[in-house]
Amino acid sequence: MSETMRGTMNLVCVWLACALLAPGVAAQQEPKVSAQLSTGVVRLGEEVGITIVLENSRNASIVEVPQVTGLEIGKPSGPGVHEFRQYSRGRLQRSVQLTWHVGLRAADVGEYVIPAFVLEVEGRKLSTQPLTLKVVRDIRGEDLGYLEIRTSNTRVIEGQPFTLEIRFGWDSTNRYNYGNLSLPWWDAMPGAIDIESPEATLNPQPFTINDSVEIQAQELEATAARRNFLIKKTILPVRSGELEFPTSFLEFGRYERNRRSVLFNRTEKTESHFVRAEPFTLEVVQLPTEGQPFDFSGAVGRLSVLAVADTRDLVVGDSIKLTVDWMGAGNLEFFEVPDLGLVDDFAGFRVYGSTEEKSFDRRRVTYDLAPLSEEVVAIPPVPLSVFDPEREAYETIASAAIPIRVRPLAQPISLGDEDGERFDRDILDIHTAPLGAETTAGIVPGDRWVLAALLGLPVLWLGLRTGIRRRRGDPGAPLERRRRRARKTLARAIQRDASPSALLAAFDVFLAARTKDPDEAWMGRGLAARVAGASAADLAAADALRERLDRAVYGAGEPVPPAEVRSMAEQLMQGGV
Amino acid sequence: MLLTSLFLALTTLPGGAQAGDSFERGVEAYRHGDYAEAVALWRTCLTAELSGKERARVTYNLGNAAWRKRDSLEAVGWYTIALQGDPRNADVWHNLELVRAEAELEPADRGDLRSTWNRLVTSLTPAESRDLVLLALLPLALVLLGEALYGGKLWRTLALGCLALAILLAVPWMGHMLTDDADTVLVVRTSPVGLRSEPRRDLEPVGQLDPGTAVERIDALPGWVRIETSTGLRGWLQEGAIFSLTP
Repeated sequence: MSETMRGTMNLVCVWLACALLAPGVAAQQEPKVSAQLSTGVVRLGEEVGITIVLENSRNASIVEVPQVTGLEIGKPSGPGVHEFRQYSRGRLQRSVQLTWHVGLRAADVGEYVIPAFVLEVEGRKLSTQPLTLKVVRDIRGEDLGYLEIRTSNTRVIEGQPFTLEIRFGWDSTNRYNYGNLSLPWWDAMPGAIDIESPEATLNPQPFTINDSVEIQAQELEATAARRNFLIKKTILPVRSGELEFPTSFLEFGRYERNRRSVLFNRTEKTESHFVRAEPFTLEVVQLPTEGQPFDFSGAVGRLSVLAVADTRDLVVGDSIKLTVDWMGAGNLEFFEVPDLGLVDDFAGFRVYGSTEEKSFDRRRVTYDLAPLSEEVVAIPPVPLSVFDPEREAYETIASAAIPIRVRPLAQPISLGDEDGERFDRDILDIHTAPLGAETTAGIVPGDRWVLAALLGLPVLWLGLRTGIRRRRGDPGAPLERRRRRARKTLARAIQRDASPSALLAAFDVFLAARTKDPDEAWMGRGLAARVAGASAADLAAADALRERLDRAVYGAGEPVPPAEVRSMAEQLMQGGV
Repeated sequence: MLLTSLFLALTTLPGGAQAGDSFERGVEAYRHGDYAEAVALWRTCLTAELSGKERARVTYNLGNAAWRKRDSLEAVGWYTIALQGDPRNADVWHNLELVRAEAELEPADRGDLRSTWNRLVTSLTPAESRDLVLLALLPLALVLLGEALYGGKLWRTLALGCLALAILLAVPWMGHMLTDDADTVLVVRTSPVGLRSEPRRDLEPVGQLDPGTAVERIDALPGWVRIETSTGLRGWLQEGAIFSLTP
């Protein structure tokens, strides 16, 4: 590859890298908007609140409030501004949240879909997700069913995952066959991340949450003539404050086949009951800055660690795959794993890199190491600084050291020095081909030639163009172009139709085109007196031909061969017509 | 015609043969490590009529000899001249970049947008760039002839297209036109050189030029050269501190 191409390629690569990295950098502080109903099910006449939350931006306004027939949606109030601060790996991170509240009231019972609220955020338009609200005439169901939402903790540390247990059920004697959960906080909780946890596999039963999410709940053992179900959800709070869980509802009842529908096997709700779970809040406490190590990884929870090496008897420079597993109750997917290249105890190793696997119950990192000398006798412990929420203190957990045997190389080389053998750079040799082998051209155009050509060409063109237009008019004018095409037009007309009348008409059109007259100008007129510049003999011959064509068309004359018409046209053109 | 050819052959052959002979003897001296002798012989070659590529070969060899004499800045100068005659020669580029690195100068091709553009524009010799322009003018002339004879939108569009192509292909030639007339010199003294307002040693310097800086020569007096830097600073330098990059 030439130097020029390499330079260009470098440039293109830098541009591409910038283009690819820019969205990733921007995404870290991307504004995010969400909306939450204070309750998903409401009794007719009661007021419902919508909370709209915008994160990571201060400059925003609601530009479009949706209108829904049957719902009276009030004006948004706010925004309220909340600022959050947190330390992460020794750096203070700030975030901001704007909150609006909108009240609404339903005019009639039914299910309403509230379309998106549109916000203008820093010149861009963002929309909330649509919401579903169910308005019922009466909520009665406490006697027949129940809904309980329990948390594993009443107070959590930011970064500490906690589990919600949603327990619900209904009377088993009434043969209720459907249940829907209305959980307004589901997947829409500002300041928290949902951690993907496995769905129930033991006695799974499908349920719909917020009319949009299908989830498998575990059916528990029936008690006191009740069917009981359980859904677990793990949530990770990412900042301090309060996590609000609005009123949740369980709708259950009976679906039955519509007996009036003969053609289609349609089902419809024949009985519905609602039971509510009261709203509650959960306090999220800030991570203490006191005692926080400088290398704090962001790990929060009760974690344990286990390290395994794929080989323990090796030669200097051989690769060891060290697999480290962190397990336990904590934010396993969200902390930064140790970089062994920066850990002093690993100075006797070269760290080539690492690969990671994340899951809800395990964080696995496989490091690729190589011992630098035979003096290394063990893989040191891998440390991780963790905040233990139970003890409310920072601690360092470390894997156990793994003894290894490192044998020396037969021909030792040091991995510390990349190049085993060094060569000096030097210039390329002189050129020795004899002079005079290259012949020089007899005439080499100089800059003056090029300049003369550059200037002369437009002058010549302008002169030629002006001369032609003065003499013959504009060659691009329609009449002139028709004149140039006259011969071709005649040939095509003759080829299309060689009858006497067509021949006569084509010849007249040819004459009109050549003399720049209208197509009908030569019908019934003599040529000899009217065409200038042509010889009298040619014109007389042309008149004679037209008389013969006339006789062939209107009298009993012999037909004229098409070739004769063509040759006459040629003769006239050569004669100056 | 025959007589003219014979006359040309008789008048040009001895000079060319002499240059060829000096070149061969310079190669022999270089092989024996006599770099001063090689430089003297190759310098005499430059006084003969040589093609651009042959001249580039001689100056390339002079650059090698200067490098072997541990004069890296002069080597930079010779390789820079060699590139003017043979701008796409990979050997010259290799040696130039190596010597510039050894002289602690930044690369001739820094790989940035400006360097890449400059290298692209100067990748043709002046003769090649002129040929390219003439080649581009040929279709333009034909299309203009057609436009004059027949007129019409098609011919005008073709003429505009050919004109745009000709302008594009004329960029290297225009680059040479703008830069080749400059009488560029290179500062080859290894320590910073003082720039004086008048050609007198007793005056305090008004500026300083680093080794390897390329400047334009605008005047000369015996033992002194007046230069102008790229920033517009003018002053006098001692003649021994510079190396002319004008072939």
